Amino acid sequence: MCKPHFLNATFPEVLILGIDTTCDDTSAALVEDGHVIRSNIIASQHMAHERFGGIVPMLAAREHTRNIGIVLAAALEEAGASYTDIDAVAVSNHQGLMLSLVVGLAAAKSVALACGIPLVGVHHLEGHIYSNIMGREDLLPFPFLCLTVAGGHTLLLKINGHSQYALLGHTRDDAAGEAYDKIARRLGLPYPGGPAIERLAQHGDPRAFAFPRPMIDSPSLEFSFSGLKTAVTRAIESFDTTSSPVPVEDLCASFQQAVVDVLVAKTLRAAQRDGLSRIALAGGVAKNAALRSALTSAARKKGFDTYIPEPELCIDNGAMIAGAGYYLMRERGPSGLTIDALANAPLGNQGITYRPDTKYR
Amino acid sequence: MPDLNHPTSTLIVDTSGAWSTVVVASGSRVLGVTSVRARSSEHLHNIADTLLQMLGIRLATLRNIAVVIGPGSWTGLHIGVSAAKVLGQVLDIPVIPVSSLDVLAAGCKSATDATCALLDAGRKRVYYRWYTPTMTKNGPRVASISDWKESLSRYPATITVIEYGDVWFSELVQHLPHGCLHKQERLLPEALASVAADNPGVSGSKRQALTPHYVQASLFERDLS
Repeated sequence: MCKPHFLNATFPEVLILGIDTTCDDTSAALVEDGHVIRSNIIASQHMAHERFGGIVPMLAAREHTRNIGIVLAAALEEAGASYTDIDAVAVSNHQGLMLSLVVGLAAAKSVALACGIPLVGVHHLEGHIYSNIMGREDLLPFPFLCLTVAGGHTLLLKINGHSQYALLGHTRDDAAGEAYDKIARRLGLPYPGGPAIERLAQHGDPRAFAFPRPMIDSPSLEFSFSGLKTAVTRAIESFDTTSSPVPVEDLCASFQQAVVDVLVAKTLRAAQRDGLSRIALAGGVAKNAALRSALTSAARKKGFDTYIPEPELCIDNGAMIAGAGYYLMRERGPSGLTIDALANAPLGNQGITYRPDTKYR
Repeated sequence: MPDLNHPTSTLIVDTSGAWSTVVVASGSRVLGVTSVRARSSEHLHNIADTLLQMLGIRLATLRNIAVVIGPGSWTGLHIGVSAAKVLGQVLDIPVIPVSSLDVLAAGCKSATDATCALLDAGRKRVYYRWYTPTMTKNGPRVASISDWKESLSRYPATITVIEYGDVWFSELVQHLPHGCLHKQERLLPEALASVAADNPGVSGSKRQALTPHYVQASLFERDLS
């Protein structure tokens, strides 16, 4: 089954299997030439975690182990391919839940070993950044600005090249997606909280509550969402002592508007400060329609081009890992069978650390 | 000299404890073994690759993959089972699930009346399984250490207890006036090969659905019910 190394030969088509088990979605995808998605299977665990109001790491690992073989088979079937057609395996082995990461890594190593093909480890955040090139004929030209916003992180990165990143700003406390989830839990909304708040916000008045826009006027490109979360919690509690029901829709709309205002303002400031004309959006919160619309509109007014992945590519998925793996393997070479999983890992060739109070290895 | 690439070889994976062990066996005969006390997420595939190369066996010629499915380390078992079931899927060969307790018992050559394989389940609880000399099984079960001690009275003859893992229940010795206590830091290659040879493999959807067993006492009880 051993195949020639695709990097050493001119192949008409390079097919990469991408595997992502970073958090609570089990995903496998087959991607051709780094951007043509032939399949992208995602087995969501939301139902399994919903009754706990959040992700239970041990349950996530159990579900990944149960699903990984089924997801791999489905990805091959949808792509009309077999294991012998795959040229390389890319897997997210950095950043995420340790118990989840090791399942995908073990599966990826098994495919690489059994097929005799190269393996490349991809930082999960790199996958999100590269989701902007998936399904596109042209590669997004360097440099560009990328706002990466999800449940575990909120970052402004200058993307100078493959694996060449500069950190412009990050959150000092809660990530934007984390604030969504915590507010949703406080309101008793179902997990995951982000989509639930977004649905309710569509029917609410974003000006009903004057929530703070933390650090919006600060010249710093850092974020802070902890204070906003506290302000929303206090607003909810103020209704606990009255007989009035919590105006959930208005509250969600006002909270979401505050988050979007801060994210958009900081992103435009970063683009202006660093002279970047292209702005990309990535991460799970990039699926939020209000953020997509506000950033696109505000950027256009200032003359910036925006690049936003399709909504299904904003959530954790194997296609973005395969896409990143295609370019990163050319840049850094294959990883070898002894790569390990790291829950907190620095990003890119410069080893960027981006989460406060976190020990990186 | 046997033809090692004749499709009779089984690759056996054990990541249930602190050691990552890979055995290549033909039936119950061990052809080669590699064992490292290190993170299985990092080293398992590499030691398997190295061992197969040393033996001159190609993966594509394997007949089965066997994997220890528990009880044991939560993370280790998930790594081992995920690795084995995907290897089985890519190579299109059966995967043989193996109990760590059965391997412990198979590795103990005792002439006593009964043997108990024992493993720490955390929170002062133990997984255990009783075996007769003919390897008839009773269990597996999970219980508090005190309940397990009480169960000893049902086995009045001399007994052998094999304890597995890094947590030793040294106080158990005083409860075994007529028996003996063995401690095993890792599962023995010969025992792994023996148990793998005696168990059937699973293919297709059963292989895809394979998960570790008994990685947590509460899940164990749920699985039993």
